[in-house]
Amino acid sequence: MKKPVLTTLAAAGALALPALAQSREVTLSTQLKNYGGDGAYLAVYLTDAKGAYAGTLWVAGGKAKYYKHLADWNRLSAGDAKRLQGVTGASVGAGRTLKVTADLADALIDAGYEIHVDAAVEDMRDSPSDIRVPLTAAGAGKAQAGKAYIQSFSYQLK
Amino acid sequence: MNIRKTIAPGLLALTLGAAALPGWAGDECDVPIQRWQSREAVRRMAAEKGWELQRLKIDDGCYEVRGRDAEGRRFKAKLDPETLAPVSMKWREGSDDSRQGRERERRREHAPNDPAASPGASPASPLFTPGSKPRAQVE
Repeated sequence: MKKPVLTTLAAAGALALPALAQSREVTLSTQLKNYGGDGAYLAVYLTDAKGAYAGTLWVAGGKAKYYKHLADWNRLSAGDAKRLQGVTGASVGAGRTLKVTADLADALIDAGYEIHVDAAVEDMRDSPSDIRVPLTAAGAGKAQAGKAYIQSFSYQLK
Repeated sequence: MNIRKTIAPGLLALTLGAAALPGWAGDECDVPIQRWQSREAVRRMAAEKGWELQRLKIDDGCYEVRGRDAEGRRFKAKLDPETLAPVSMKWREGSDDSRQGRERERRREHAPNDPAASPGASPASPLFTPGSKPRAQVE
């Protein structure tokens, strides 16, 4: 009886290994401008090569009633009931930097995926897709400015 | 004793109370922007009532004011943006410094509290390597 169990475990391990080998640690840094307002709500998410929603990396800001102001993310991710699971934190103050680190599948890099960051601040103008950059190996480490609230955005690949 | 006279005010109060309920339950206003009164009008109304405003903002489609009332008590009120009538009003105890109070309120408002968010749970997104969780920090 023991042998089949061991064989199964070994097979499961062999299957799991390639998946582990194919993951990349990605750190995304979003530095905000000193826009002189309350903490910003940010949604960091990916779209695929067709522009369809692929998943949420992080949502900064915890009040669900404000999520509609992260308009692109809210619209694209509306069908994902678990879009917030394990990926939420506090809002980000003016001039501060949000650093999100995640282990992503290697297959997402150089495959047409784009990183978006939606931003919204209370009593100020909403900025859906304040920044939108392709997720590529060549683009890593290159800082870019956003449209309204993002002073600088960059990502690092390990 | 005239029973009709006794019951009538009670019924009136109940009717008014029931009519007021939706506003109190939701604390939210739904007025088209064209019908909004200006912030200046809110400040004028507050001054007429003897309120000393420390903050005036928009929340849930209502004006939200914070400050001290005519008796010097700290309060927070939501106002209908068209009529400027209070939709809800809360008074606070103690002589808490207003700035500290605002900071505490801000922290409370921006801390994660959505039950669907479940911060302790593993992410469901297929983007992440199974078993891993994204980490975030604000610097």
